[in-house]
Amino acid sequence: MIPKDLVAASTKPIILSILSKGENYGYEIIRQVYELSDQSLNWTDGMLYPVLHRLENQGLIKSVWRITESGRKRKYYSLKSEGKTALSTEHKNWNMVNSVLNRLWEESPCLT
Amino acid sequence: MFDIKTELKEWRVNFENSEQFSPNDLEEMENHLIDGIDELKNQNLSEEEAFLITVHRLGKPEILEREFKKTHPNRVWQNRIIWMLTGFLLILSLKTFIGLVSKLIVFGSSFFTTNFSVLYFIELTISGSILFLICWLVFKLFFSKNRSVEKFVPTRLTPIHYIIIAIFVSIGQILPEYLRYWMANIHHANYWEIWSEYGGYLSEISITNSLINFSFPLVLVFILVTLNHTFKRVNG
Repeated sequence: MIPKDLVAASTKPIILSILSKGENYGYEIIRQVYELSDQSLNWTDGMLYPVLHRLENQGLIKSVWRITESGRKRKYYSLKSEGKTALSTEHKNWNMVNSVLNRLWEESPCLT
Repeated sequence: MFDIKTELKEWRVNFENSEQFSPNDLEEMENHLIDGIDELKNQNLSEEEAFLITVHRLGKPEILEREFKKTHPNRVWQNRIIWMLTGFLLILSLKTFIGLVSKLIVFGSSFFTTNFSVLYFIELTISGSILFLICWLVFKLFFSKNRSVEKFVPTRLTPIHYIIIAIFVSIGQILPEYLRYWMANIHHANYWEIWSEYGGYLSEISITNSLINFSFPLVLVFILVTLNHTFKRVNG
């Protein structure tokens, strides 16, 4: 299990990345996260929605209600250009953290 | 028998108890549940099992409420303002109703007796008993074990409700004024003094006063409905 803090911190870049692949809705986003993380990234499903709404308020994503083939209303989210910029910043930051950890954990070659 | 529609309705009622969730939020989450149930049913789970699992995965209302609060910190207060104004309107309509009924009865009785103390007694008794009746109804509503009364209380007031209440209050506010005027006209001179003793001025109907009394509830409802609409738009 991944600790809660880390889950919370990684939510934003994960959502933005999934939306960068195209328009999507809540249930499908969660399903993808579930699959990609081999089910170790366990969100409480409902938590996703306030996060999506927050990103929308921040102007990073936008939403639209559509009618599905089964006649139900469904809210689809998609990335705005501000969201793309935010995503590239996130990308840079997480890569940086990642490379620091990788360097620290690399086996240091023994010279003697 | 497990009925998915009833269960979903019950689930929704649980969430509606919190002021934090907008109807759109609930619609979005309900859709999430239906998607989840469909997927689990395809994996050979029964409808009931699928429902229980998806509801559990979605999370409890009190936990989600906390998260939604972070995103929409003002929403609870917006709702409270609406309910406060609504409460004010309801109390106003209650007052109007009591005033109207008792004045109508006094108006009727004035054809039988023009004795001031009798009429005064009638007005007092009628308004007192209506107030008592309403208290008893409210008591019954909140403290009775038999909750069937709840069916008659609407959980959400629509603009139509508001407008009906406003029109009732508006008319109810000015009608007693006219009743007094008619009474004075029908029963002649003595009445001017009698009514002014406990009704204040009464030489003629004050148009300004009537206008204010008449338009106040309508303006109040206009504000209420506009606020409601604006909040809904802001909250998506």
